[in-house]
Amino acid sequence: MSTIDTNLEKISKSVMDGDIDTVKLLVKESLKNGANPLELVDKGLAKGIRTVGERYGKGEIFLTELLMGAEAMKVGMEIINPEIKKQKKELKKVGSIIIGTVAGDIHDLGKNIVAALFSAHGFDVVDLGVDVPDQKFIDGVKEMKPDILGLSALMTSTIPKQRELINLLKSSGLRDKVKVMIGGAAVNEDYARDIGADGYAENANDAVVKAKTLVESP
Amino acid sequence: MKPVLEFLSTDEVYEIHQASLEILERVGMKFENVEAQQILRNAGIDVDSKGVARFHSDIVEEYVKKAPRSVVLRGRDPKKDVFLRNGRVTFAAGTGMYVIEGNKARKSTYQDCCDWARLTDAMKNLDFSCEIHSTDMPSELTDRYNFKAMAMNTTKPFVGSALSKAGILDEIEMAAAIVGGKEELRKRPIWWAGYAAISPLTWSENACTVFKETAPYNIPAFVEGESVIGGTSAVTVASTLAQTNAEALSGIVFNQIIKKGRPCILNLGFTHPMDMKTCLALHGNVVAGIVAAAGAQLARFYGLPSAAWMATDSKIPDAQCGYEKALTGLIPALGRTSLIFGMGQAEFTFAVDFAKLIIDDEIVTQIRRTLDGVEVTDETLCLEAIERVGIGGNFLSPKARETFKFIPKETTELTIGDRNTREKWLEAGGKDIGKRAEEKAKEILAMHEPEPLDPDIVKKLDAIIENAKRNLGRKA
Repeated sequence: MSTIDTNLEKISKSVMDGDIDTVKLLVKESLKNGANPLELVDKGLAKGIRTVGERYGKGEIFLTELLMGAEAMKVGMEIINPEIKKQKKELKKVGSIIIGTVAGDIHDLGKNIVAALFSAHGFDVVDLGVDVPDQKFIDGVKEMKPDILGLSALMTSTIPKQRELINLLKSSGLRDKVKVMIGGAAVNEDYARDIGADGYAENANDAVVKAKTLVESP
Repeated sequence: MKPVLEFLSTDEVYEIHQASLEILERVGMKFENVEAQQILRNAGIDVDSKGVARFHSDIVEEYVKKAPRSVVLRGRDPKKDVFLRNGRVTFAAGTGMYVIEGNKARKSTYQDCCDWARLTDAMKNLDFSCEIHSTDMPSELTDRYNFKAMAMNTTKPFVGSALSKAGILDEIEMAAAIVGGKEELRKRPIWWAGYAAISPLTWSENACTVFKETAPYNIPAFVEGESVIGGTSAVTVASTLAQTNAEALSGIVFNQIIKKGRPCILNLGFTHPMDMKTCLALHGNVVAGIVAAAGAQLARFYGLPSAAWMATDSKIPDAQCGYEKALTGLIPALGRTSLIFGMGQAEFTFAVDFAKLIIDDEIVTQIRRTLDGVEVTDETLCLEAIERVGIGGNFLSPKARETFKFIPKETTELTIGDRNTREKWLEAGGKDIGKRAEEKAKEILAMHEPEPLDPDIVKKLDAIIENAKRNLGRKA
């Protein structure tokens, strides 16, 4: 195994361990040694975060470990991105998402976790925050043309907002321009189907998996 | 602080102690075994022609002091030894003559005892095991078969039973064969023998024999006052405590006379209230838990370990089973009872249920967490993390990373309880906890192989059993 291969292995393992400092060190060292930045992402960081996601899905690790992995991934990407630009290379686009908690609701724990994971998996994420006015979502879709719109609502009193927003997208002629995913403690698969959302997931990790399939499907 | 639940004030502990001494002097304790009567007389205790020993308080106090403050229950694997420390709570399996499968109970077999031992060996919350009965073997020999099944299938300490003098002598031989001789057995007594007084106020022929024969090897003696409250002791908890404590204390005095310094466990926690309508002893009843916790308080007064039984009277892993197990487990645990038996126990103490063992393992996870209480230190206050996360942030983020190491200690993880959303639960079959636990038990039994016993030792055990069989034939 070459030094570069060994480093790739170590990078993906450090992402799995959520060892941010080691990821930083190894990524810098690899770039200095002339490693291909795209390969560092694909066979190092991304491979690590995929394994973390799988382990989380199997119930083997805690949510905090998943998020530490995501943070390590993010830190690594921040170092690699300028190098990719410098070499005029381009990372394969994963997708883009606008996410926010609907008007009347200020809960953001779940939404923040989802946003962090999307970011770690290479999505372009725009987080509109909490208590987001309807029009702000609509404007966001119009201007930024994201692949996905993520609507979060925790309370049974605010989940009807998700339906209203989907209807608003329809009346604004934007419904077929974006896939809508909904989330929140009171939301389930049935409800998602009922209000005409494209996707729903049980947890943050599943949300990323689901989003990837939505982006790939026509 | 680690929580401790106390049902008696310091004065009340002393008052019950004195009441027990008064019972032992005024009413006395009957020893059915003639040799035991002579042993007591030789120690200066007044024993009348009916075998009733009347103890003066100074003798009781003198001998109880001789019982060591440190008791170790040893396993075939020394790493599994259980040190009974003050305030430490440990958990053991239940026992029975039946195995419950679904809504039915059938008589337990030698093979069941092997499987039971194997499953208890695998459960992480179970510190020591307890036999179930090989009812398919000749009734006079079940104690030997149980012993073999346990010794072969768990490396944890276990509790045996002895049905006769020949039985206990054979078990000593078997234990010696496992540890490498009788001299070694004195150093590492790998199993222990217990007996309950027959309430009110009698030590049976068999109990005296078991205590006597196991004494030379320093095998820990499990000395039990085990009345049925309202039937074989008065209906009040206070009187039950005074009487069962008197019974157990006299047993400890006897054990210390025959072998000074022998490890003893003072167990008042197998005492159960009688249902005043059906006359059945209620094992899952909260009063049993109260007696056990108060009994543990008395045992601590003497510096001795204590015991209890987490039990249910329910026949299936239903809601009654869950609440009774949790209460009769948690109350004695908070009372800092040293040994809590009954994991997997069902239907009074008649039966075991493999599925319940899996559920009880999770109940014990919750109990252990409760016992850990609240740890308050600079580190656990996490003030720096609070500042770093700031207003409106969250503590799952890497900003709070130094707090993550506390996750396993501060939180509890469910292994069998359902914590899914309805969709996920339905997707997995929509099963109740009993069904899931039954499947899990089968899964563990298919996988778990304890460290095997040396085949030469197994041959020795078989030879001892064969010999017992021949002797049985001769007697007949």
